[in-house]
Amino acid sequence: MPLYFDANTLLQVSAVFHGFMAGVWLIMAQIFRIAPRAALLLSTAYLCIIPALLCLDCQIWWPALLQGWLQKLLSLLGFALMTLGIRRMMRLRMRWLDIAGVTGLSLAAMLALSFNGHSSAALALNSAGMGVLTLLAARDVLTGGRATLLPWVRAFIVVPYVLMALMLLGRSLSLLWLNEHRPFFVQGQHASAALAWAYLLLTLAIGIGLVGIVVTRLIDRIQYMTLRDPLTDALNRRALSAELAQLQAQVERGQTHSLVMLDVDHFKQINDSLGHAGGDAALLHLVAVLRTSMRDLDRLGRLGGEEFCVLLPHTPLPDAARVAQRMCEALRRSPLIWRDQRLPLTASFGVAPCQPGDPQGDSSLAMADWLVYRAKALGRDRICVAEPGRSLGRELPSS
Amino acid sequence: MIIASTPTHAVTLLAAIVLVFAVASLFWWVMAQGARLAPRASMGLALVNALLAASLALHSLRGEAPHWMSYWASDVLSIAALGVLRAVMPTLVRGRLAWRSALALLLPAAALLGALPYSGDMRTETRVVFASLSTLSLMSALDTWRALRQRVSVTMSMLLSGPLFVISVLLLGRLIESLVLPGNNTDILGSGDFNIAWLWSMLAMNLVLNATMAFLILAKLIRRIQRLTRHDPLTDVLNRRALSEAIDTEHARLQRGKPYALVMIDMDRFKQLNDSLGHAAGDAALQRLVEVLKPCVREVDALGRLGGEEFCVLLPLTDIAGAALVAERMRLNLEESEFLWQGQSWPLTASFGIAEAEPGDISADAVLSRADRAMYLAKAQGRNVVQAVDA
Repeated sequence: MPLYFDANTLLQVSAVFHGFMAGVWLIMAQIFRIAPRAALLLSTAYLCIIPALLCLDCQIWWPALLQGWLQKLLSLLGFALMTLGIRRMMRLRMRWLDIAGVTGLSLAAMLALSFNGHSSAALALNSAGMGVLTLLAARDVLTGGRATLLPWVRAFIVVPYVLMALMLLGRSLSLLWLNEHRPFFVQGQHASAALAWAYLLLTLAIGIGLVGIVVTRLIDRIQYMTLRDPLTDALNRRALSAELAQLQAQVERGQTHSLVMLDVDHFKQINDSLGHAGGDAALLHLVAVLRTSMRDLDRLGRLGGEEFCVLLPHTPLPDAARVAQRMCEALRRSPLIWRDQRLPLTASFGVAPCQPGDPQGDSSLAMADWLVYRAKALGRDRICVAEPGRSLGRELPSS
Repeated sequence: MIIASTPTHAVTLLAAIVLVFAVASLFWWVMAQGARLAPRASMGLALVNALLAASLALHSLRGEAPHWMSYWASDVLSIAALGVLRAVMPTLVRGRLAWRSALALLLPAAALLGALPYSGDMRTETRVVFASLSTLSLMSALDTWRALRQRVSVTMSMLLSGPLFVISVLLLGRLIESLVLPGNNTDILGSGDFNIAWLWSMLAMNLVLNATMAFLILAKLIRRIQRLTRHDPLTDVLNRRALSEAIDTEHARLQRGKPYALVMIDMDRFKQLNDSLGHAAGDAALQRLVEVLKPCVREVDALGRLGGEEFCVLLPLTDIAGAALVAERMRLNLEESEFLWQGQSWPLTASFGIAEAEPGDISADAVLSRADRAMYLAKAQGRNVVQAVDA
C-alpha cells in the first residue's frame, strides 16, 4: 500500500510545535527569569511564524487582496526576531543593523515586486530573506557557543540551521528559475510532503537545541559557582587545591611552577574601622589590583579570610619573585578608596617553588605560608622568597 | 483549523507524533549523556518518549505486523512508558526510584492484556489500558504535587504539576468514553473526529509532559543556584552575605519593638589544628562544629559562617539571657563532642560572645561589633567560655 503523507497536517504539527515553543519561552522569561529579553524575543518570533504555517488552506477565506502577504511578512519578521533573540541569548554584542538590513531589503523588494505583479519573485525574495537570517543565526550560534559548548555539540546544534537556510534559499531559487511551473515547497495542494517533513524535523531540532543551550548555560553557572569564592570571584580553596595538585603532577615530569601566597596587612583593623562592607571592598580592590599583574594562565585563589594564593605555571622562582614584587608595588601605589577616604592597603608576600615529591602541594603551600609569616614578622608590606639551603628564605629588597 | 477526515490525515498525524516523540527521546538522551543533567530522570524521559514512539509506531502497523506485536505489545509499551515516568518522577525531588508501584501496575496489566483475546470491539482491552495509564499518570501527578508543595509556592506547584493532572484526566476521559459509548470505534487510525481530536491531544499531552519535566529540572537547577549564592559550600550554613541580610532584616524589626540577640562563635586553636593535622582536618572540624551546633538552633534562628573559623547565630525575639542559655548549651555540647581525625582525637571547643540589640544601635554593625568584642573577651579569658560586654 503506497503511503501518502499530507503536507498540510505536517505543517499544522509544526504550527502546534511553534505555539508550544512560544509558551515555553514565555514561561522561561516570566517565571524562571532565564535570559528574559532573549526568551521574550524568541517567544514572539515563534508566534509570528504560526500564521504562515496554518494558512496554507486558508487563502479561501483570507481576503483575496492580501493574497496571504500578511502571513509572509509576519513570518519574515518572526525569522528576524528569532535571529535577534539567538544573538542576545548567545551573549554576543547586540548589533541589529545587519538583521534589520536583511529584513528591510527583503521586505521592500517583496512589496515592490508584488505591486508590479511579480508575485512569485516576491515570494522568492521573502524566502531568500528568511534563509539569510537563518544563516546569520547559524553564525551567531557558532561564535557564541565557542566558550561554553563542546565542538561536536556546537556542530550538532548548527547543522539544522544550515539545512533550514539551504532549504529556504533553494526554494527561493526554484521560484525564480522554474517560475510558476513547478516550484517546490510552495503553498497549496502541491506542497511536497517531503519538504514539510524536513521543515518539521528542522524546527524540532532548532527549538530543542535552543532549550539545550539555555540548560547548559545554567549548568555551567552552577559549576562556576561551586569553584569560586562568591565575594571576590577568585577560586575557592577547594578549586585552588585541585589546580595546585595538577601543577604538582607536572612538576614530577620536570616542569617548573611557582606560587605566591599573600596576606592583607592589618585586615582586622580595616574590618573594625570600616565595618564588614569596608572589609569586603578592600578584598575586591586587592583582587582587582592583583589581576593586573597576572597572565591568563595564572590562577588566583582565596584560601580563606584575607589570605590569597596565586599559582604561576611555567614560572621559575626568580620570575615569580618579580611578579610578587610587581603586585606588592601595585598595591602600594593604589590605595583603597572607601567613602571618599584614601586608605593604604598593603600585603605580605611569600614566594615558593612547587617542589617535587609533594602530590597535593601541601609542603609548597606550607613553605609559602611560612614565608608570609616571615614577611609579617619583618614588618609587613614586603616579600620573602624561598632559597635553597636557607630555611628562613630571603627578604626581597624593596625597590 | 480544517480537519480533513481522510485516512492519510490520521496516518500523517500519527507519523508526525512518532517523530516528535523520537526527537524528544534523543534530546533527553543527549542531556543525560552529554550534560549529565539529572541523569536518571533524563534517561528515564528518553525511555518514556522512546516507548511511546514505539507503541504508536506498532499501533500504526495494525493489520500488517504480527497480531501480538501491533496489539498487545503496543498497549503494554504505552503502559510501560507511563510506568517509567511514574518511577523516575520522585528522583527529581528526593532521589529515589519508585519502581515498585510502577511495576505493581504494569505487570498485572500486561498479564491481563495477554489473557484477553483482542478481538471484536476490544472494549475490555481498551478499558484495562486506559485505566492503567490514567492511574499511573495520576500517581506521578500526585507525587509531583506533594513534593513541590514542600519546596515552592502554590502557584508554582500548580503550574508544574497541573499538566500531569490534565493528562490523567484526558486518559480517564478515554476510559469513560469506552464505558459510555461502548460501540464507538476506538482505533487510533480511524478517521472519526473524536479520534483525530484524540491524536492532536496526544501530541499536545506529550509536548506538555516533556516541557513539564524540563521545567521541573530547571526549577531544581535554579534552586541549586539560589542555594549556592546563600550557603557556605563547606558547612552548608548561611554564608556571610545571607546572614548579614537576615540580621539587617531583624534590625529593621527592632524599631517596632522586637528584640534580637547575636551569638558570635570562634573555634579555639583552629590555626594549630590546621598546621598540625592539615587543611582537610580543618575542614572536617568545621563541619563537625556545625553538626554539633545545629541542634541548638531553632527553626527561626539563622546560623551562618562569617569566614574562616568564625560563625554567628541570629536569635530573633531573644534577649541577652536567652542568648546566654543558647550559647552555654552550644559550648557544653561542643566540649562534650568528639572529633576524630584519622584515629587521632582533637578537643573541639569554641569561644562565644553574645550581644543583645539595644534601641540605640543605629545599625546591625554595632550589635555585631559588640558580640565580636565579647568573643575576644572570651578568648582572652582562656577560651571555651561564653562572654558578654556591657553596652
